[in-house]
Amino acid sequence: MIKVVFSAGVLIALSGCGASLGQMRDAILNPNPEVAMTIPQVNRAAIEQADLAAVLMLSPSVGLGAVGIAIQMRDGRIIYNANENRMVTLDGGLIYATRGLGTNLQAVTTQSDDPLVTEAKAGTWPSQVTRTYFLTQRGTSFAQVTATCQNQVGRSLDIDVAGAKRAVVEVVESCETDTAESFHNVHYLDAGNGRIWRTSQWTGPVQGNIQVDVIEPFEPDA
Amino acid sequence: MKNKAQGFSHAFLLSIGLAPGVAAEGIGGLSQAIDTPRAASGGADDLAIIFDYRENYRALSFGLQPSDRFEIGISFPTYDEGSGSSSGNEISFGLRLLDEGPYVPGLTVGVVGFGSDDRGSGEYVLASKTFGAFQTSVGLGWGRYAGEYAGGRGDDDGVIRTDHLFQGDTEPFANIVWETGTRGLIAAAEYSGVAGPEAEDTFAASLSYPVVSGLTVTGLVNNQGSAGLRLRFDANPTRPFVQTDIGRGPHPYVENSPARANRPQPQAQQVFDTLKERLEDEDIRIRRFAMAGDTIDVTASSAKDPVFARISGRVARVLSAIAPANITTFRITQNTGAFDSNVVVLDRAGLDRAVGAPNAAERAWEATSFEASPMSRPAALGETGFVPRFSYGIAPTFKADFIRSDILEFTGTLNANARYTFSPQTFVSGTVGYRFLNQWTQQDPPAEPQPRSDFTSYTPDLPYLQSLSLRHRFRLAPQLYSRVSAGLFERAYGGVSGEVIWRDPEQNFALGLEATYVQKRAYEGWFGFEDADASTLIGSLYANVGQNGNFVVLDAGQYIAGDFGVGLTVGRNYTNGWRIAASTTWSEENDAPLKFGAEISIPLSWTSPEGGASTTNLSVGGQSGDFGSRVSGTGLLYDELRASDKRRIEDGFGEFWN
Repeated sequence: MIKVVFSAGVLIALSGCGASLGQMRDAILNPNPEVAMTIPQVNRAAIEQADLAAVLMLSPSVGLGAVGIAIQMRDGRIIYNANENRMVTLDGGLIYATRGLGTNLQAVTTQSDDPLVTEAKAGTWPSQVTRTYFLTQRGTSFAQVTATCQNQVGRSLDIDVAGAKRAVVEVVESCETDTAESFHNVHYLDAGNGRIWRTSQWTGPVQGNIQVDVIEPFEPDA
Repeated sequence: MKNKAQGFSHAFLLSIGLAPGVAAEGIGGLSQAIDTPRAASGGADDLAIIFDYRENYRALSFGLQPSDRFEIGISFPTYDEGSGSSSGNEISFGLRLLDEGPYVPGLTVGVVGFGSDDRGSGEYVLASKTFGAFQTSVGLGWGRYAGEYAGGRGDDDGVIRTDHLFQGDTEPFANIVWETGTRGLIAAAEYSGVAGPEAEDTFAASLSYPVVSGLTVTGLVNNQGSAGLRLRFDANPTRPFVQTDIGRGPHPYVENSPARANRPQPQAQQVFDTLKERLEDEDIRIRRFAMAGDTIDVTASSAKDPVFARISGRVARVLSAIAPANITTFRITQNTGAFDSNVVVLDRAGLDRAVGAPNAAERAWEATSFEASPMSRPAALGETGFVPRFSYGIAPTFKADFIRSDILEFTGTLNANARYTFSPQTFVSGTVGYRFLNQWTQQDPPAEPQPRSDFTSYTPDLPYLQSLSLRHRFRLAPQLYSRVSAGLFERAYGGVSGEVIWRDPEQNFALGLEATYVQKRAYEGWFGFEDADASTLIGSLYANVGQNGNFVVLDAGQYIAGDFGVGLTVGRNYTNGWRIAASTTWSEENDAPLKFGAEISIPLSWTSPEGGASTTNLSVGGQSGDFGSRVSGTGLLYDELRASDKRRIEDGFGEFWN
């Protein structure tokens, strides 16, 4: 009898664990069904032909979507600019700054081995990563929110990124801020080299998560 | 404390039949459970506008929270006491002395109706503790919270007393507030040792429901035969209802580099055309452009964006990409309409170092300096001759004032405005008004016209000429702004007025002096005058204080009745255009307690991304008595210059890169 109860408990715990990861992922990638998303058509052929680095940026909280083209590299970070000057700045796979997608994120600082920046393979990530988010407030200093994230490797799967099939590994980060707010990030890493193909990251308490799909990566040596 | 166990059931049963009762209603805009205080649970900059309605009590209250620990309440209650009504104007303070810990309760003290002899005056000390969704408070009250409503607790012939504070009889109170987690419903129950017409102790219960985000309706009832409704609007100017950066983003910033110097450099006309074209998409207008030596000088403005730091940043971003490589300085002039008020000087190399950094706004601020705009400048691109224009409109205004009686009343006026502008500095304007809400009954004119108290002698129920005046503004020196006005300034006065303001763009204060000579306007008709005149001479200090957008305006001088008075306005400006202020005026002739007024301006952009820079304004109280009253409608210059204060621009500098 004891074994039965114990087994049932383990089963419930395990199934709960698996379900919560899936629920987290679904909640992040489809946050509010009442907000209609406008997702632009991506002409992958044209992007490839022009040899452009491009991303699809989605702001689910306000229903905005735009295709951004890499226009600048500053301090190793790539700035992608879209119609109406909506912008996202990527530091590796980390969303470093946003413009025109809701409530601007000014900057993010992180530890030197942040796997989003180094684009480390799933399973090799440090158990904990701490990042500080900089947001506009009154005065000349930005408000700072520091979050500590723990990650969990999920399933391996193929995803479609703007018409291209990518073999990826899912990683979910569970984070808590110094203001006791919690949030989740979901990343889809290339199964081979850890490069980010799709990521949904928290970018502030108002803007929430922004999703970036890497249509064509920036390759300076290419 | 009798029959406590039956108290709450009595409260509901007795709510069926209402009877006049004396109880300590509301708490003057401070945090409350129902009619007893609770610890402030909000945060800095929280604002509440509360309207209480009961059979024998109505009150409009404002709750402001300058910091996490400190609350200010301004309340305008009216009590119906059977034989007549009495009204109050209370200012109240609440201070959380101790935060609650895991095992230790928080400690809060409050003074309600400070300096008032109204029945609302009282003090309290309370301990509070939160248990999950429940916040509980127990405390001890004096004055109104001990059932002591006699006048004279806080005021003695116009002199504010403090010797009554926390003195006299006390009564206990306790309350519990439960956030149910169901559709935002909040339930509250409370006990007070204050006796009423029905019972020795007072028990009350309430249920609050959020109708829409920020607006809550509360039904409340007590065992003294009183029931009522409370409407509460909550907002925090620093937390807009909408995402703030949903519109067009800024142009990418491009750092200057030695390589750029080797490329063909654009001419001034090319730079101007491109700048103008790109900024038009962002609703920024370039009125003047000059490029000479190592400097580009532009005058920029936006009808939609109230944050000049962001306008400056967006101009700098475009210039960074198109300006010749030898340009090292961007000078961006701020224009108020009549004046070029400031020049924001940006060091291009400093911006190059700042862009993209985690402290980018701080570093951009370090690359910024301020100058007064020169009196005259050479001709430049983009300057066009001013075309005189005529504009008009009709708009309702709502205000709560004391004009009809000593009781605060909500008034509505329909105003038809027209204005002919001869030049950026000079215009003539007029307003015809009709008060459609809470009209007064016309009184016989007094033997001698009075400064303000004869307002009800003016003709009601007819459209009236509110104002018709000419205004000209000009600068005497780079830091001396001046104005002359003539005509009918307001319903009661017409004449001439002159004003000078000194302000240095590098300073956080300005000094002003206004001299006005007026004749009392006729009680009947639009253009006549009574045989009474007045002159005022009022000096003003305008100061921005501290780093939170706080400001103080101190006025002193001779007011309309010939009395010496001192006016004080304190408030807070927010970078997004919100403005909250409270004011009062003391006069040497005052024989009544101080009256307090409140003003709130809410930018439409706070509620809608398309709202723009225009604001919704709400003002309560203000001028009512004969003393300490000044002529309105003369066109005080600081109202148009204050957006140019260095501190205001610094406050908004976090938006520079947005």
